[in-house]
Amino acid sequence: MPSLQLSDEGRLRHLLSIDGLPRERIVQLLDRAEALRVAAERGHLKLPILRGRTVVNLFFEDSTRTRTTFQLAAERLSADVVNLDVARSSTSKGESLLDTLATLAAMRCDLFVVRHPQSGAAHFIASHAPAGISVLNAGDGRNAHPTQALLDVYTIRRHKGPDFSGLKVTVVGDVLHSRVARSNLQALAALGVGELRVVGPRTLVPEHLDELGVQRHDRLDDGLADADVVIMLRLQKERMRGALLPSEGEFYRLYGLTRERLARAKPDCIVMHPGPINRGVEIESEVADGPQSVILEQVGNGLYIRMAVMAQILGDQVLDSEREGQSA
Amino acid sequence: MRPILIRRALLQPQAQRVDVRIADGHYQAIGASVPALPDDQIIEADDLWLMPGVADPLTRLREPGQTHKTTIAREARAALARGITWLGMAPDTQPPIESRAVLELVDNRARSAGGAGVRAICAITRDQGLAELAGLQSAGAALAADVGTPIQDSGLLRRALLYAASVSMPVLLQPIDLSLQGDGVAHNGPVAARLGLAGIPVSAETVAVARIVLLAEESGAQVLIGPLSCADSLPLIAQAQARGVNVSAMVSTLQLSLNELDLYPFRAYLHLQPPLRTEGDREALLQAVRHGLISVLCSDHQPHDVDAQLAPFPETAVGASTLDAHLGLGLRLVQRGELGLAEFIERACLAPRRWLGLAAAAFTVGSPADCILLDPHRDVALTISTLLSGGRNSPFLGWRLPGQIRLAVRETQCWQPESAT
Repeated sequence: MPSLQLSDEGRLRHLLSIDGLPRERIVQLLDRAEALRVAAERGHLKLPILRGRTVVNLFFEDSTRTRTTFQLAAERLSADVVNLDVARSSTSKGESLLDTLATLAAMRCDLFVVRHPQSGAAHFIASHAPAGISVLNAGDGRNAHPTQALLDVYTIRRHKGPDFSGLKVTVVGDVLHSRVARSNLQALAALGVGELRVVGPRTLVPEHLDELGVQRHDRLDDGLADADVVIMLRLQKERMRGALLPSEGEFYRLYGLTRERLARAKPDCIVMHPGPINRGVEIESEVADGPQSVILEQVGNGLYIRMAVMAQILGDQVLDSEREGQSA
Repeated sequence: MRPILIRRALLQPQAQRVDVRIADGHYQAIGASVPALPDDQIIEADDLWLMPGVADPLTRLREPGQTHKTTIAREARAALARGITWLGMAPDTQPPIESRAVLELVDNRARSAGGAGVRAICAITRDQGLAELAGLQSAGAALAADVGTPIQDSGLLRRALLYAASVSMPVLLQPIDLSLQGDGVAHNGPVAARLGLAGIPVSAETVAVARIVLLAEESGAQVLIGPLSCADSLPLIAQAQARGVNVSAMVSTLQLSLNELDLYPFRAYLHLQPPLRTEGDREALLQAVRHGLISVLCSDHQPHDVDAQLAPFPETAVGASTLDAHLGLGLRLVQRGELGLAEFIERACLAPRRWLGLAAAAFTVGSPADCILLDPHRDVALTISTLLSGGRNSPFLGWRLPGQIRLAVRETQCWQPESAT
């Protein structure tokens, strides 16, 4: 089945999901992010790569954090940015999703960064997008959050090197409802990670993850043994409907990452979290703020990854400008 | 309607060459060689199969209440052109077919529609109580059904079945435990896990099947369970049948033709209840159809307008438009050797008639004509412009299905391709 994400010539037209993205593409994006980081460290914070292009943040779900990062990424590339807060837009007055899109498309916007509460929303929008319009999935329901996964594997690469085959990575928490978890598992599998483990109560972990070669563990201690990387997920209250957990307290008792528990992992195990963190629910403050935590670095890396993705989607002609920025 | 003389058709499943003359909505002559009369339209049928018309026991026709999707008239005409001579119409219209008034309205629409005949299926309950099954029966309903959002209160279901048994009204029950289905939109398997779609576990069906089978046993009601999707439902039904419980099973041709992998990635028009399950489930259901554990085939036709489907997958309306593909899907299974032609004809053309209270489709002189003539060697291409149903949500767009209809007759209603007459 032809991928919706890639154009006929094999260019990245949309970024909807890590699922279906070849390894080389992922590595290419990580390399590009690295180049942008280097340019920034040399003082080239703002690059003219996307000057004259318009990026629209189409957020159907509240998220000041992520939207701000995308906005900043677009502005650092000199794009014009439009923020569409759907709650106040005409979509809440009954205008259909596609009509909203068509209106924006008529105003010559190049890239839609979309966050939506339903799985498949980005795919739906991309499959109806007119030619010349690209879609970047900033999170759709529980399905995918590709830029989060890219920044996570980029972070891992910076600490553990490009060869993932010897790594043991453990993902802990509400995997069932987590698009971050889904995208991360797919990215790690694509990059050939040695061992992939998932830890959580069975009400919050899907049964059918064997496709990706994932081991499920009921107990955190088993899942953390000799881990090189642990990714803690936020307990997503807004996504849980019905009785999936008795209490946050019990979750912390069973799955909370404390210093004591972290000691089961390798001494140089890095601690990750997509944020925002719930202190005392999935992670102990001392761990979140401790020497093994790379949580704040993830946020910074997210900016370069998003810049890299936007630059990649909106055209390869930008490569020359970047190189100029690097060598100057 | 001019009299029609069909020459040397291959009558199926007997595989017998036969001539048939149809006049005034009846079979006037049937034999090895019937002489032509001057007024006859003659159809040379050497390459064609002659079969009883398909009787589709579960369809949504959206009238009254949702005629922006389609109408009884449109679907009845589309059905006949697709080889379906009778439609069983589900009661979950707006308002539902739970009173004589609505039943009569539907009957009137059906009669003036032409095309396939329409049998209204009435509801079992009304306003948390029982529907007037006897009254509805005397107004023409031969089957009552609880489909879509079925009764969840076991006590109410038991009383409804006891009452249906008292008036000898057979009952069609869709097996769904709504609390287990939850907000699920796809089978709780690898595809849903991969796509982040809320899953519907197998138990959402099997728990309901178990409940239905046990209550059917206690009440003595005659029950048809379906449409099914899970292999695990089958042993429950088989065991009940072995105990002598009056329970039968039904599946849609769509469930026999697709599986959950066809959903990937977020394919429109496959948001279904019951959902598409695994290939293992599909094969088990097919085997049950072959052996007769599942004795009835339906289309489970649920036509929707375009807007209902223009949304992210979980927000699309439930159900696929399958009327145009129903017969073709069955013939495709026959061609692939997955189902015998005799079994298909029994499950799709004959058995459903008994449930809908229709006369058997007998090829005897003097009987009402009810048959189709089709070319098994020619395909039908389903495209957005060739769809006949008002439902735009066909998962089979782009498919070529075997069986071009050359003639469809239901009493005095007759359909032929434009090129014919």
